Amino acid sequence: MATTSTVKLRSGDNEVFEVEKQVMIQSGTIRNMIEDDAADGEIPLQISSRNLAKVVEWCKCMQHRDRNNNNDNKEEEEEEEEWEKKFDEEVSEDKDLHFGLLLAANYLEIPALLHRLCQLAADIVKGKTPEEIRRTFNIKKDFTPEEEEAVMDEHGWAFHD
Amino acid sequence: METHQKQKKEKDSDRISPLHDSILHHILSFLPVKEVVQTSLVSKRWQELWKSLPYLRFQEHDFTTRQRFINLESDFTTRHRFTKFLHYFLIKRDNKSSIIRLAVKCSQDVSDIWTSSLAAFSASVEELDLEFGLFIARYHQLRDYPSCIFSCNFLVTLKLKAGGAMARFPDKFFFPKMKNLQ
Repeated sequence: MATTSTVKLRSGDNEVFEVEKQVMIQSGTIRNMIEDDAADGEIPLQISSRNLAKVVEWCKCMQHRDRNNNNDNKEEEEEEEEWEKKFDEEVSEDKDLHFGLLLAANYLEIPALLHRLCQLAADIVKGKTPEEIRRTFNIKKDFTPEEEEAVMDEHGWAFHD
Repeated sequence: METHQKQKKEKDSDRISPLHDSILHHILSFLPVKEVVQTSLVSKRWQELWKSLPYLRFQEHDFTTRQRFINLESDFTTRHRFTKFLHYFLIKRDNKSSIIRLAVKCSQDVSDIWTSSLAAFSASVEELDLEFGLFIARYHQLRDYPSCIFSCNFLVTLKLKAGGAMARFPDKFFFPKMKNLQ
């Protein structure tokens, strides 16, 4: 029986994506399934179609880049850089997408995507006070004034010069 | 209406705090170490997070203040602030948590503090990136690298840089997993 060169991924909201295996082996989870011959039918994933589409798009771009690494095509290189820049911007401005993709990259075991998304999150956190971090990410301040003072007492050495 | 409210609720919800420790640690690993500790004041979820961070990067340079740039402050003050921070960090940290990656960039004379602590983590460190300043070069003499480096037997990556100085390796050392040495 001939094995197909594509995998079918089914999103949480039942959209099916047919992608080349060569692209999806960047995901450790999918790669294991392919190696175990468990990727012939549709692979159901608890990832929304919006996030899954983005993950697939990212994997395609990275695979394309790696394949073209050896030939010096300036035009394509610039195109890829432009794509990555747009990806970074889009993710940084949309928390739903950002954290949805983080969970997806973690679940699918795509280290390079996870790394990039964590770096983008860190760029947002960087230079912010605890109060600003709370406001940016809608984090609830669950310290009582006494508790906050205790934490401040314990960590004062990191706040003063 | 219901879906609209649900959407709004999702949009306003805290998406970062429920992430697994390993992902939050990954995010924190990109921040200067002082800011990492300051996140303890964000909420109870974040309070203890820094204590088990397995990726640490200390740079003496991060402890330079504006005064230093306009030359009102000596190198000594920066170093003092850095060593004080390092001292507290190592005391308050959860020392049962392993350190996987450690990068230190400092002048030679502060290395004593962390070298003694490094001995405690040496079983887990896989990546060491150490850069010492010009101080040893000034003495124009051969110095040994801190011996604790050579007890980190699980090192996969080791980068050493000692500002122009002629630092010495020990006669014997054993890194069975080493893949990358610079």
